Amino acid sequence: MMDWLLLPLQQGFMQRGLVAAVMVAIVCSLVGTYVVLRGMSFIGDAMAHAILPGVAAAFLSGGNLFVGAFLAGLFVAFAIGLISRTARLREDAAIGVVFVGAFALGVLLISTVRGYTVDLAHILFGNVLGVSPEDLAWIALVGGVVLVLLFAFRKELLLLSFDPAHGSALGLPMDALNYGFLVLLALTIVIAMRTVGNILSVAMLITPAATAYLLTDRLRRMLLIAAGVGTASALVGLYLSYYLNVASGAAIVVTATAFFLIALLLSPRSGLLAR
Amino acid sequence: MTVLQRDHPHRHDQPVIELDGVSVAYRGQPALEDLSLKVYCGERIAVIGPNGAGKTTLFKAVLGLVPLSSGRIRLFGGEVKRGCMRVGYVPQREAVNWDFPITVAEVVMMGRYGRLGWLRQPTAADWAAVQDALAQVEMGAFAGRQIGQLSAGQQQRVFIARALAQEAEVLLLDEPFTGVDVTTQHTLFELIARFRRKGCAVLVATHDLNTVMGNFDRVLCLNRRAIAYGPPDEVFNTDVLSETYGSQLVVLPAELTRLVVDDAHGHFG
Repeated sequence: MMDWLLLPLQQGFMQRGLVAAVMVAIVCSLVGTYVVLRGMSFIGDAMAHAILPGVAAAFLSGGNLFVGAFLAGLFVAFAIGLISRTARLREDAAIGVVFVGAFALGVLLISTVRGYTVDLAHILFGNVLGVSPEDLAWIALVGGVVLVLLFAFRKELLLLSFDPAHGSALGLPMDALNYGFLVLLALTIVIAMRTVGNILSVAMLITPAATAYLLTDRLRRMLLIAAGVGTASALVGLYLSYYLNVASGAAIVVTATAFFLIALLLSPRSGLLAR
Repeated sequence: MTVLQRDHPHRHDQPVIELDGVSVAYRGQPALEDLSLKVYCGERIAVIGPNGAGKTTLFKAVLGLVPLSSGRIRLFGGEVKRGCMRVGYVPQREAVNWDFPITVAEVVMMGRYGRLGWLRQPTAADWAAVQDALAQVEMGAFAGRQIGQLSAGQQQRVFIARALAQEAEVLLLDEPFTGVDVTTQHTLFELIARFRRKGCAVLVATHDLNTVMGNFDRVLCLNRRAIAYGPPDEVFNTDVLSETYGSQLVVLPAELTRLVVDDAHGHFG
């Protein structure tokens, strides 16, 4: 049993992959808790798709993928806010337009490279076992910044999630806080992209948080459970990927989904079997 | 202005809320039109009107949450601006996510947020203020409960406690009687009366005309514009009410205190 656990760790790529996946899982789960509570899952999905052109542009020009993705994420955050505020469109339609359009632009850019399918697959579905030491440093840095901000602004985030109108009435800049949160979301997706990929990063945001939501009605516990479920999914998923020789990002997400289904069945309050 | 003096012979002080020709529109659709209103310290005001009459919009305008298309609002003699911690708001039940993982005490603590400032976490004194506010609404024993586990009346009391913790002087209650029984209604009226003694003025948006008589000093009949404003016994007559409610209202002529609203949206179903 120990051999079974330790064997993969003798390889450097597996060590880096595990550390990266766990760090990403924790950051995603904590940010995702607020995404779930605010009913922003669709915005998270949109953001994840829409940063693709930024990644593609960085990839083509040989720039830093993290920076490219983050700039695109910033653009998308403000575009969604702006369109839904000014145009006669409902927010979901605005998001739909922005995210599919940007995603298509990204695919278009990447398709200018010959043999682009491998690159595209890595970007879309992640390549956690190809994480370089430099990637790891970026993930640690960006993830650390996100965690510090989440902790420092926990009071403001609670207000933004539960009763933004009350916050506005008190004179707190809830619009700015909302944009700030979108930026945090963009940063989170940027690091998640490196492990589970662009498309599956949404699952790392939503699934552990949704699982935790089924199991508790206290915010602090929800954050802890989400981080735990995320971490467990990353570890179990990577080992599955190693031994079954399947795609690592998908293995992590499938594991997280399994945890969600178990919670859905067994949750003491809302579980299907509790009824 | 002499007219003002005649309107309120016993009041020489400034109004706490003053609306002057206020209009609000959402995407070109008027929600409030040319509303002028003065609320004085010590008054309990009922705001009545059908769905979509602009009751919530009026409250949001007073809180500075919606832009005015014309007119102006003064609070405590000054221009309205966001960040008036002196106005507390109790939202409509439907506007609150009751499944949110938050405790009663944490909701009440949000009343203190305006004072806390950025990055500051609540101190022991803030938690003491929260406990005190909860005790005032007799909800001290429920501090650790998740808010969804409370009855509708208890939930209203928690949000009133939040306004108390905020040390608000004006309280705006949006449809507080929806889904509460008669006993709870009575408790809420006692709390409103107590708040007025402690604070200043209370505005209550309500559908329930039966409760207005005897529990409020003035009533504003609203249907996008002000139909009438004054003491309930002077304001309530068939003409005013049918203009306010249109065809939705059936008045039993025998007794004006017993009014039946036939709400097309089934609010009372």
